[in-house]
Amino acid sequence: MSKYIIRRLLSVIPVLIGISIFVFLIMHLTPGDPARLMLGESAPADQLEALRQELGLNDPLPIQYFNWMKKAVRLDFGRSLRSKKLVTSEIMERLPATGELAILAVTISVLIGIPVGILSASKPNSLFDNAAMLAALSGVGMPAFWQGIMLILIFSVWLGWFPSSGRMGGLEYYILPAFTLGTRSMASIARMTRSTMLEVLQQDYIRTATAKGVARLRVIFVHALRNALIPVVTMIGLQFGGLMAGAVLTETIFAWPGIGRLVVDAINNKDFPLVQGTIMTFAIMYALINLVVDVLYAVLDPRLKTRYN
Amino acid sequence: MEEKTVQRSEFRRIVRRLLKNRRAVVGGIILLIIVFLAIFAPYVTPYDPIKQDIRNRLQGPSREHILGTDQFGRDTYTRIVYGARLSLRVGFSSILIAMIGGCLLGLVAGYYGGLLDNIIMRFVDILMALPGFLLALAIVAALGPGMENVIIAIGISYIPSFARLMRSSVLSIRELDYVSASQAIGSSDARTIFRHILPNSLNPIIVMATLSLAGAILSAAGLSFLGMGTQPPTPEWGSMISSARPYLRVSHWAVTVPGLAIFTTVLCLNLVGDGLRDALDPRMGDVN
Repeated sequence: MSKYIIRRLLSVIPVLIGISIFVFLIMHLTPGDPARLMLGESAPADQLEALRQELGLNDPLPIQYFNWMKKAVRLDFGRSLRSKKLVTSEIMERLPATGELAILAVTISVLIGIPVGILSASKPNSLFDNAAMLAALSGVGMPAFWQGIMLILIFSVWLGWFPSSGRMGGLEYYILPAFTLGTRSMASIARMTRSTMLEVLQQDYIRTATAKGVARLRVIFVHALRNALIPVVTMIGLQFGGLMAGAVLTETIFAWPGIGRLVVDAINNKDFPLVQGTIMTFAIMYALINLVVDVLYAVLDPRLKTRYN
Repeated sequence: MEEKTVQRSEFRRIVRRLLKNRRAVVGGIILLIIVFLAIFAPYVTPYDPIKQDIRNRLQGPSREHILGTDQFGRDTYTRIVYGARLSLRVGFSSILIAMIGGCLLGLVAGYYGGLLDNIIMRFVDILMALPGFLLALAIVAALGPGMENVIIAIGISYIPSFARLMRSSVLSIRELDYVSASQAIGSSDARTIFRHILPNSLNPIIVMATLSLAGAILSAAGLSFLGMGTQPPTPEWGSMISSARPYLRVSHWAVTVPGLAIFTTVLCLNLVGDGLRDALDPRMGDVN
């Protein structure tokens, strides 16, 4: 098992190096002189030159990358051009807000998605099943930013139940953004649970259990669910990736002070060090989450475990 | 001649299975209507999509404006129809890029194997180091805002899934007898790949293209919503939502309707995609 984990861990390194080259190049792919883009058209020549010196823009590209990378491995991405604060501390300030939202969103999506999937699978093609699956399909196709605005329209403008934006502390601030962020995964989890449950319910051992006279509820929850949930667990892990992308839109709508909004602001402000830092942070988190999911999968599925022992 | 008949009857079987799927048929019909409206936009809309009419701003539905007007008094229905042109074009173009790029990479990687396979797949891994939408966002951040860049960005972000799918079907087909036979009679690699391997691995690619089209349209709307796609006043669904959003409390129509347009299009594409998957792979039929 540990051999598998180490091998999997090592495989992350070349990927992160690859994405770091791309992230580094973001600033250089942008047409025009990066220094001028950052300081604006009217910047005096000496200021431009000073910034070029500071960012090392006069060096050849490979040297620049090497210098940038030397700092980046210590999580030093320089200072934000706008706030002048360290990029890393800006990110660290924003990370908890995104983390809270993501965890809450996953919790909601699991607590609703799995039971709905089980109910659907236990009575396929029933009215409930059809309604639930149509709702799930809608959840997958709904643009998150629009859904967020619709929730604001209904629950804060019309009904006045929840605040429309911000993060002032109370639970009421979390409901709408977490629900918006969680909808897509809720829908995917419900669909996945349903289809794996249906598959498992057709297996011979389920028929045996039923034939032995085991109660239907026990068959579903004890015999079927445990096997059906293995792929669902992987999928929940993978949903975190989608959540990161969703966070960018959700946080923008709800003025949520997380890393998703940070990256959008950074891009709009052409704040390149901040763009590089936030995108790299996303890549690292994504790699770690995928790693955990893979290991978890190996732990859950005994067939995989035996292969590595 | 014989071969053609077999192909045609197989095609007919697939179409027949697809037509039996009521959801896919409904989705397909609505999609056809959207495409029709988009193509004939100037003939099916009563107003100019750009020209402002401040006196009639932020209205609800009426006989003059069936879906209301936006903050500049422009007819929402007209702008939605013109927006469909853009959304469909962006969706198709970006998926075309992804399909061509991904399939070529997958074909080469799967057919030749070895070092080439390794290099290509590591490159694909790097593209997958970020969730698709974030990768597209990062590429747009580098290239700058604008619709062409959005197309390129979304296209690149979908390359990995096509490359991996293509590679895995090439791997399973490569060992089949007709491929060995083609190689044995001395066909060139290109002939073997494009005459024998590609046509036989297209089915899953077509399904993925349909479903990815839905994702691409969503991503494009999201990027435009963030101000990184089309710039106003060009009618685009995502940017229509973001620019009408400040007036939500006065009139929600200019926000609600473009969202419904995105939602309907994406939902129908998903329905057709699901239906195609079931029709092309009858083994799935009894599960769903």
